[in-house]
Amino acid sequence: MSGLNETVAGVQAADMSSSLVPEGLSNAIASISSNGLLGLGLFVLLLALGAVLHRLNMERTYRNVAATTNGGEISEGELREEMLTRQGSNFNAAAITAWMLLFAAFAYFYFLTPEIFPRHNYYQVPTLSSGPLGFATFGFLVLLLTLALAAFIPKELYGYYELSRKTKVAIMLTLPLLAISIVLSVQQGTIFPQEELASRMLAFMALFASELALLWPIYAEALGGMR
Amino acid sequence: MRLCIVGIGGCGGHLAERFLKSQDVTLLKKSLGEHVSFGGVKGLWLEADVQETENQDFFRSLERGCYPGFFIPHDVIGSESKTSKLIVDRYGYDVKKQGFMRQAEFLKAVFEIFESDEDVKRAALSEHESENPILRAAWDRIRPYTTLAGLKGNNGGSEMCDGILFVVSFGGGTGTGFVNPITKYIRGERPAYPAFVLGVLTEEGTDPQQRAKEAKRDLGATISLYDLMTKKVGVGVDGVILIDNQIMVEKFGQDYSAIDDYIHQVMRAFVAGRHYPGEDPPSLAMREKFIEGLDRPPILVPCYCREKRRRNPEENLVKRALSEGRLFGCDPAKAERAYVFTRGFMGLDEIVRAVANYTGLSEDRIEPWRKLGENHADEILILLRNPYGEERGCEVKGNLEYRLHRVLRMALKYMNDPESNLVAKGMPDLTRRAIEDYFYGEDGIEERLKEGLKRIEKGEKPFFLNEKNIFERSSRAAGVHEPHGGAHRVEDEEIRRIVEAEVSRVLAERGFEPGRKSPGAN
Repeated sequence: MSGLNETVAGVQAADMSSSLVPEGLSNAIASISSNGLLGLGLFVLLLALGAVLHRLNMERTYRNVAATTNGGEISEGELREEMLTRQGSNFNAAAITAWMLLFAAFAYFYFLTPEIFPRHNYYQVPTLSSGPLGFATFGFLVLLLTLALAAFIPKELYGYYELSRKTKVAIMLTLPLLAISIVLSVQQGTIFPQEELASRMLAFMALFASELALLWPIYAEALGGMR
Repeated sequence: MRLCIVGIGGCGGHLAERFLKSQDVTLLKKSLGEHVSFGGVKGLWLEADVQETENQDFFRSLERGCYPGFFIPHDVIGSESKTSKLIVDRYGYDVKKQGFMRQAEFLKAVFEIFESDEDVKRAALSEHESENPILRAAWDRIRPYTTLAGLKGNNGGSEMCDGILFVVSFGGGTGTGFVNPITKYIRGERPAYPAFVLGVLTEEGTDPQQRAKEAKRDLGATISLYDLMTKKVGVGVDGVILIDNQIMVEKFGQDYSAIDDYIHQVMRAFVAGRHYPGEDPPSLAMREKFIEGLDRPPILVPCYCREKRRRNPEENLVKRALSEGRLFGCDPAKAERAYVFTRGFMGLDEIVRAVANYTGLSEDRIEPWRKLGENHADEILILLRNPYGEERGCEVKGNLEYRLHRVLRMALKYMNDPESNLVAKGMPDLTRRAIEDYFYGEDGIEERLKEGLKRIEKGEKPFFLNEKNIFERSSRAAGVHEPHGGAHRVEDEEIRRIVEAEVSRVLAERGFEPGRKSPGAN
């Protein structure tokens, strides 16, 4: 019976994924999303690239201001102070929540079930994963662990960029996107050991699309600065 | 510099909305946090037309504690108000009359009555605890956003606005009438508090929205400009940034929303934060620069250009701003000074050199202020001070003189059009005489505009010289008012009429009808 279920689920997943994206791309996403190290590397790489580009953006601004200032000497601290822009508390709250959810979605995707990292996952702590709060405990723990980081990142990143309302809305829209990713990962955990490829791919795409959206202001500034 | 944006009237409201739009994201138009505007500006909208406030959903009533809010100053006068009744009876003006349906001089007249008539003052004081309740109420709504309120924010008071930018249309409605009287309140508290005006001169032809004829609007614009430009520095405003809607309409068609967006984009360089380190002047410094060497407020013509960021952008930006980016026709070579606001990475020397090159100004007459840019674009806004003054410059299309000459001619034409009915027949004699004298008297506006036309033709600066009031405070007795006669000698007949009118009024107040025998008389 379970074999039949797997076959049906596999066919459904193949149908769904083929209707969403071309077959080649779908296969590529499937293999990347199933490859734990690759996904982890990609996630960290995007974050690290964002941090490096942010640093470069700040340095480039400093250089440009210094180059157009008589004597070429300006206080970096003073410049940083001038660059700081208030983005609004609604946006700040949304951005902090989005970053927390990003880390939570990432943890749910890679470390909830043994599918990707068989030796490092929540199922290794059966008392918690099978406890009354189940997967929620996992999420709370991740949120707690990333709270400080998530609170720091938006202020440090977004405070120095002039963000258009469209960009802010895009960042805000990562909230439902990440929620979808988390729900789909939880679904994966619920049906484990069965797998649903389509929802896994969708969760993966939502996760990485959100990460890109959250880092986009930095990438955009860096891209524009290179021209 | 942090400005308080005060949009007055319909056009002022639309523009103020652009300035005050929240930079934050909202859910279902509800914001849970503090309102964050571009450049940290704050402000409000003053409107006289209730319907206008109902036709929009950006501003909410300040009376209900909303922000950004609108305020209808005339609402402080109740419909049963004794003050209002006194003004109607004595002068024939309904202070609650709304918007563009009023004559150009309406608000000027009303506010002058409040300033000059001791009886009106007394009535207002007893009823509203203020001699001029309309203006008092308006100023009370503006003041809390300014440093004059003396409130300390979280940042040592830096959240407050250290200057005011009135945003109005020179069309003859609400906007034009409010600026000068409110400035009086500002000056009463701090004579050097910076107050600037961003004024939009309406386009040629008939206004498609309000069907107001160009000539009528031009008379409103002329009266307003006249009042603004003839006030002495320290009494009136500190600079009038002029925009010609005719140029905007030629650029954007009748798309007024796009025009408002563009005007806001132009002014962003002026109000933006993110200054170059050490180049954040307080509004007071800006004011001092604007009025340096002048005894009357200057006209400031904005010239704007924005380009994708590139190396050494200064020369091209300045060139384009001064040629194709003028928001009011003018000859940059006639400017007395240039105030330059940039956003992006630009060198001070390069900016000054480029502006000097294209205007002929000496470098010490060019004041640049730089700010960091956004979206990989460089922007420049050049405010040219009084860029006019060429003999027969009014014959050169594209000059400031050419446009203003037309406005003045149209205003004069409207004044002489019998249909304009400036001296309305139904008005009390006192008002009729005052208005007649104001417009058509020996030293009236008509004569002064003709003189202004001559000065423009000769290339003389400024083109308007002395203030002109409709109602002057009487030096003889409280409650007796006469039109401002200037050097005009009052004729015996006129004195007789005034005395008769006053005696009739006093008798009427005591229950005697003129011409009727008193109860005890045989």
